[in-house]
Amino acid sequence: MSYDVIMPALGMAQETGRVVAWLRTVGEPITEGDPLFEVETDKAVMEVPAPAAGFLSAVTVDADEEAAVGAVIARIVETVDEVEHAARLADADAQSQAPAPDPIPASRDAEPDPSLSTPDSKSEIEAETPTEPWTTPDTQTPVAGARVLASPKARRLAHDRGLDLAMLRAQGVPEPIHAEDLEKAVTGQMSVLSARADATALDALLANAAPDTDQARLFAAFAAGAWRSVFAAEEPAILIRWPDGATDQIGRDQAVCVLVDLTSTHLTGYTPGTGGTTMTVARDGAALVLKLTCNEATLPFAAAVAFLDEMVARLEDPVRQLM
Amino acid sequence: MTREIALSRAINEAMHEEMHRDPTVIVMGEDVAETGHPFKFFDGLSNEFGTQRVIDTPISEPGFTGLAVGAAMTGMRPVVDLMFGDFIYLVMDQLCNQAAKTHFMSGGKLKVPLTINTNLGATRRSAAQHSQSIHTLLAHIPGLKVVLPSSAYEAKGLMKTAIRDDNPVVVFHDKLMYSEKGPVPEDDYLIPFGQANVLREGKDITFVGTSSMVSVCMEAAQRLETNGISAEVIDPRTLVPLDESTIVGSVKKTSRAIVVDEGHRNFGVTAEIASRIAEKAFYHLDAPVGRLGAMDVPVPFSPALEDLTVPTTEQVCDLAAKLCRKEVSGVV
Amino acid sequence: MGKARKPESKKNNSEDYLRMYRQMMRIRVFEDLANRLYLEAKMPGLTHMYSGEEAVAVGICEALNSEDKITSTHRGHGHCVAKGAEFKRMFCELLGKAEGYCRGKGGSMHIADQDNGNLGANAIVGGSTGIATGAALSAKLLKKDYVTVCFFGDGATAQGLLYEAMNMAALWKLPVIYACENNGYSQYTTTAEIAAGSMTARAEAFGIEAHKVDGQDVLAVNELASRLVERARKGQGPFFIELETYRYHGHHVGDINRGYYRSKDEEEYWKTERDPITNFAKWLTTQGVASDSDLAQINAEIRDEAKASVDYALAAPYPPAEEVDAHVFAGVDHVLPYLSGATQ
Repeated sequence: MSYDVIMPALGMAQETGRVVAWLRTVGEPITEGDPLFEVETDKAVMEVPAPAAGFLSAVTVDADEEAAVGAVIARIVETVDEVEHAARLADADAQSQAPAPDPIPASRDAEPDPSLSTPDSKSEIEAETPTEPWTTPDTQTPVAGARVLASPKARRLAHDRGLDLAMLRAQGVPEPIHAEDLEKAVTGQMSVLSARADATALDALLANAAPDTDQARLFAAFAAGAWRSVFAAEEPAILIRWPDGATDQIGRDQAVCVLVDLTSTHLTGYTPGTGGTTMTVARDGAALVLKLTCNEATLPFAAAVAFLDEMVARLEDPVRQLM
Repeated sequence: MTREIALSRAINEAMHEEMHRDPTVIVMGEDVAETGHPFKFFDGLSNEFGTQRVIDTPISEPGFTGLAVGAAMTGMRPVVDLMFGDFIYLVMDQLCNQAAKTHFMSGGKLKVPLTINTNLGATRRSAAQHSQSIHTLLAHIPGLKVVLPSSAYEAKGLMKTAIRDDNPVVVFHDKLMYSEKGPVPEDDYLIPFGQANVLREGKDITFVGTSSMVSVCMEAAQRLETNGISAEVIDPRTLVPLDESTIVGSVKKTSRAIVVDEGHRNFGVTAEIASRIAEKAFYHLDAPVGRLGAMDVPVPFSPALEDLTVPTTEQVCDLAAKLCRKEVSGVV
Repeated sequence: MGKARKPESKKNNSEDYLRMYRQMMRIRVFEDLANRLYLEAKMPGLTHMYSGEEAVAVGICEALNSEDKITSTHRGHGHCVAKGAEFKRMFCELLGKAEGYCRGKGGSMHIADQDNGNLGANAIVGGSTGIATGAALSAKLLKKDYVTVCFFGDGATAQGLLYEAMNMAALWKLPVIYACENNGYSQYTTTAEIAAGSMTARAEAFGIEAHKVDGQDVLAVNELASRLVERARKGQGPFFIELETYRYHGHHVGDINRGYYRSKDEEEYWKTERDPITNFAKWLTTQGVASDSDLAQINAEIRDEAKASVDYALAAPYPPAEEVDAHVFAGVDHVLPYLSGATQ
């Protein structure tokens, strides 16, 4: 019969203990309750009494060594013949240095036991959480204004209806955009103005331009110039939309108009579903065909006419743009 | 038959009916017997049921609440009266460490069918230790049910349900409503816990109001109607349990919400309900969830100051107009 | 638990005496094994040993029947055993297992055993003084003849709730007995440092009849308790008893180096001169109630039962995860959906 001497759990949140000193030597007779060893925990040193009478044996954790709480660090045997000295303990060593047997589920800092996981009812976030975020894809986000501010409901409705919130912002809808604004945008009175421009002068200019000149950017610059001149705006921003869906913006502020360059396609025009202030530029032989779609509320008729007319004038006489 | 009676009378009727119905129902508290309570809702009980069942206690809130917990564990259904809700601080150990945890810690073996009858509400010029609305503290504690009647009708039906419940239930009446009259049926009726009351249907915004804030919300809804804002008004009736689906369903319909409660705004009832709305109706929200609660200061004595600390109809209208992005005339 | 019995006829009561011995020994053995479980890190949390105070719990509980109620303390295993609890379910509770008295939800400090009248241990010092007094109020109002014993330590005499409860018990003549286990230490502080005046005088101030008794003498405790219990049953209560006793271990199991607040000599004196079990064993043998070998046989039986119970509890299953939100409200299977208004 032998008794295990274990590293005791003394503190409230103790995982290991350090043996400060053995107060008895291996083979020495022991009375139950005798101070057997000193252990350091939580910065306090305590004497641990012997759990049974007999002879100290099989000490596997020496002074100054640590052991896990609950680990066997020695034995007390009934007769002196049973005493095992450390030298004979090669096999027992591994076993006794092992962590505490059958650990109870620890209160913290432990790997959670999957069998103890709590029912999944703590926070049922709204069931219809979309699998894709509502945010506009990065390629369509204007450089200047990062994320469009909109209420969660407006964002959901825009997504459901395939509306682009950035376009709404570009058309002048103030942020944050609410559900009501979407209704207005879709059902509001839209005007479409058309114009033709003789492209001879512009073509001549482009023929001499650097080969990597982006025509859409050029048109956007013309549109910004026209807007500046008509409305005396300082640095109007224009959102550029290419036929492949890519967008970019010139100017830092909120875009006042979306410019769509269709000259590389067979299209002659496009009216956006969002109803934003949008100008399309298409090619018709030696001429450019322009279309301006806008909301009467944000761009009244006379202003729209002046803006489009100034744009045509600039395209036909690019020198105006340079002035 | 339904007649108009004061809220304190409605409590009195609930007590009479339940004490008749169940001989284990007793009342304990300060001056509940001969005096019938300073707010008079226990009037006549001691004459009818005797001072063995209507027990005047010493001014020992922790002591008599503790006794009630023990009595509840051993066969009685005590109704403990805490004359002012502020005294809850005195009985926190008995309510939160003992009553709330006994059923759980005993693995379901022991029950504590205990009702605490107390109050909330400021503007009675009673200063900081007799004016608090601290129901949210108890709603935070697992194992306690929290009930907030908003009218005489609600008070009777909810009190009776509380007394028959096998768990600790804390009922907070607004002390300013004790004399407020309302239609109350004479017969025996119960109002179940966890079922909100939709007092008014609307389509633009949802008001969730508790206790006396229900009538503040109703008044605001009526005023807003003339300004073209249609407000739905919901009284949750109980905080624990909370009828989340009625609230969330309403907000999904209206896309806007204001939560009004007389507890402090900080970490309070309005915060909890607003967060549940945000969690479960987020993609239906067209405006931030509004919250109106008692100002985060101790309740001042001076009427000039005290009135500033409580949510008002004007504040509800103002905030509603802002959230609905409408001009509201003749309101502020 | 014993029936009412006349203490003077010793020879006829040998069965009662042996049961008292057995119950004290059961507590001692239970605590030894619980201590070992804790030190071997097989037991979660922490625990407080009753060893040394056995004559208090046994002397009093042997004067009670199973209808009588007790409330207990953080140092409560002794009361629980003395009031009739079984080892298996107690060890299961200590280890947080499903078959524990509280399905593992209470643990060492909250064992309740309603069937035997144990309304539960309480981890708030003095926290159950209201509950015990309330149970006595129920007895009076429901005209039941059970008596409630409120166990608490000397530390609880510093809590105001005790005096509020005693005031009402005295006013309303409730059948409750306040059993103050004065083991000399209030956690890690000597009682002399925290208690002014006399404890019995505090009860007497309310007009409560108060007694002081040697808590290491099970016969003296039992004789006094039997008398007071019967008087309380007749409506002559409440009563207060101060029982002088001693805890062999520290405040809790980890409190093993306590030289700074009490001497080894003092502990040695109580263990060798005042041990309630050794002294009662001596009395039993000199009175011819039992022989040394009879007692050794009892001890061996208890150890075997305890050992088997520990093994059983170690192997027993934990409660299933779905019980985590059960038992919050009576009548509600799972509280989490309930809190959001789901009807059960």
